[in-house]
Amino acid sequence: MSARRRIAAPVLALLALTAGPAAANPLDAFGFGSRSMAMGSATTASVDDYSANYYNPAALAAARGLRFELGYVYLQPHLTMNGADVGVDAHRGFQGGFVLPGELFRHRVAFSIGLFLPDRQITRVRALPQSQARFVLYDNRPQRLVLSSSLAVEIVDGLYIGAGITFLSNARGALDISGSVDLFDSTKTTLLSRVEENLVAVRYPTFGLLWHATDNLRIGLSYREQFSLVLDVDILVQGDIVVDGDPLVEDASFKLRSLSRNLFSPRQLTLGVAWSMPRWLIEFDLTWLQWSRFPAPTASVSIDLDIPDLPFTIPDSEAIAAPDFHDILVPRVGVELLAHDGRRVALKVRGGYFFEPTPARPQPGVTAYLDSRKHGLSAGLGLVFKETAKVFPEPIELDFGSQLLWMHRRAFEKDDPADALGDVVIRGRYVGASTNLKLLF
Amino acid sequence: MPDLSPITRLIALWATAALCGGCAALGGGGGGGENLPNRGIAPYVRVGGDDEETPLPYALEAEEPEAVELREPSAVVVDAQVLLYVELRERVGGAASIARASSDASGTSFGPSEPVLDPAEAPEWADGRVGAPSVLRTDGGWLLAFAYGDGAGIGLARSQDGLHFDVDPQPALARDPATEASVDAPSLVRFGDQLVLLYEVLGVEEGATRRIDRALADGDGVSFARAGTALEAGTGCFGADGAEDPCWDRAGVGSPELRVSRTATGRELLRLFYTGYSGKRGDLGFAASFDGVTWSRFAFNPVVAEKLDERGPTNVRFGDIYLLYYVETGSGTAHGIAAARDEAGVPSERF
Repeated sequence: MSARRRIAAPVLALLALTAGPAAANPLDAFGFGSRSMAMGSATTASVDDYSANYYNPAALAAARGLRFELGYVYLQPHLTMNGADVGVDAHRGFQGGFVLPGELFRHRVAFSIGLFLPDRQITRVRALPQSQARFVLYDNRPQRLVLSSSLAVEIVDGLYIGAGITFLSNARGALDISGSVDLFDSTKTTLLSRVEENLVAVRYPTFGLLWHATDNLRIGLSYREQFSLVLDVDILVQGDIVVDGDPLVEDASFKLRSLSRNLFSPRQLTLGVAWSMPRWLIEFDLTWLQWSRFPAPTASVSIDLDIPDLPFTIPDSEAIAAPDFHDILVPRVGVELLAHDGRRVALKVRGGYFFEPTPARPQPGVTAYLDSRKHGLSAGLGLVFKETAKVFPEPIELDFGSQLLWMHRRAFEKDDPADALGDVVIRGRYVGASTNLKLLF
Repeated sequence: MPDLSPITRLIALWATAALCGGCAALGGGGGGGENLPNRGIAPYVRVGGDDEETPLPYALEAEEPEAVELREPSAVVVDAQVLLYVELRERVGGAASIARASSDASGTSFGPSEPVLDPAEAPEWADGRVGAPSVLRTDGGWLLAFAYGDGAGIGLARSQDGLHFDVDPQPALARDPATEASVDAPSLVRFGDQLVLLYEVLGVEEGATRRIDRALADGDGVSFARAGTALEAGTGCFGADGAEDPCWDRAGVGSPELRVSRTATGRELLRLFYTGYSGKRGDLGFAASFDGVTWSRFAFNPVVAEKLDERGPTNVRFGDIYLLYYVETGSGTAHGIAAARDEAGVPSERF
């Protein structure tokens, strides 16, 4: 058996055991971890902390020593339609994780968990009417818990692979009510109800590859599968309507089914190239996001009313139009400078930039999925405290990141002059900061 | 106090700040649904008290409601006040004049009306009735379009102060007896370099229903040229099962009220509130056009459809809300100008 095959079996087994619930949307939008945020999320080839769970799981195997990290992130939006702030929620919550490196069959391996825990709502699932104007990439999509776990291994010297399984849960629920209703005497009304709610697991893979091509050059590749959550609700009401025990209507039924897809995250492929020098690190990333598969973020509702001898029909629900988004490429650049390297303290200065085109086309019809192109500008500091031997065996690091996400003005014009929403102009920004404490052992 | 190293103190400070940041504001958020754009098409909520009160009070009533009806109001906002021009029509004989009332600060209650134009001040062709006013403010003063006679045509009057008007010596648009049984209820706006006039027409053919026609004039509009039909009785409506369904305005459309509006992106368009008839009763609907030629009805018409008879809408943006006035007729002698407010979201159109 070759060395690679000897490694593959335990890696896959461990991977299956350690898979944890994960999601990526808040991280797509704002980055993960203070260092990565400060570098414009251009860290696919140079990530070295828990945020590798998102950026490139393969990089975990290159980590040296056990590390714990904890931090907090807050970005305040000011997103406007026709000049009025529409109250999009802030991106805020705790972030952190740990990286546990080791050796397996003389190959370096690492296991890690990364966490983003919103401090307002853990997850919000909702489906608005398709004609309601919304910042489709920000109004609801970032509002979720992220818990990801990954495993990485060094295949040969300088070549690492990593993978994780992302899974959340679909919600499928049913409410059945049956019996008889007495119109005039509630004591003679008998109804039996049954409620069933299932959280059905859904799994999505994430893969990463990292190659230390030379002492200075690193190349990273990561793949994140798409996913969306399904909220499926069935309601069935059936029975008789009676008056003083005499049946007025027999075997009447009302069925309602609501099916919606929420919290979509597109399939993504990122290539990152990092060049490092003694004091400098610079990285370029390019990410492809398959937004063309974005499903309509609204509920499909079907109602079936069956009351014998009553010629009454429920109108069909509105036809749902496909969002018709298109794929986008997002270029990123990040730099890190070791500005000071003293005996007690080292200081790293970081900066980054990215440009995110919008996947949303003009919205001249019934839908109002609003978005515009964005510039992301970020900066940050990393402080390394070296004289901590009394408490910690390794230096302690404090990272700070800040980000300005600038959304360009964009005008959406409707074809129908009598459209309920009419023309809309959007623009806006997110401004915020992030901090992380790194403890190394 | 324990002897802590600077590093330990820094970490403690950092941890405290991070934790406090997380606990500062717990609870759910709004999610981006606040202050959404509102065009002022719907929903309108009738002003005048709670639902238990029947009938709701009117914004403006005739001083002698048993003798005089109020018809075809036309509203204009001047100096944070709504001026409502309205036809005072005698129930017996049909003679009519035009009066003006001024609102309070809310725009939903009006003081006593004052006379603006009496048929005695108009040429003989007015035939005892000047009514259905439509007021347009211009750089040079005020233009007033009005209907005269019993659907005989449309005249123009001019003013410097909006209160004292001089009627043009000739009608702006006279009924064509060969094709028109009546021409009434004008609405006048300036759109581009032209004056656009929409008006209600009843054809002479048997079974004709009321429709809204369009006429155009250059300059100050001494006379208008007909330019076709803008809106006809509703047809082609479909029910939930896909089968053709009677339209809410199948028995005719009339009482147009036209406004030139500018959208949030700067496009000019024409807003049209109108009365639609399904029988003898009227409800209110909305349509719009970018060019004045092709009109599109609002998908969720009618926008006002109470159990009463509603006609003759006029619509203004009043600060951060929209107001809609219309003639409301209930049972018996209940009759007056009702006001409705639309204050959802943030106004997105300027007119």
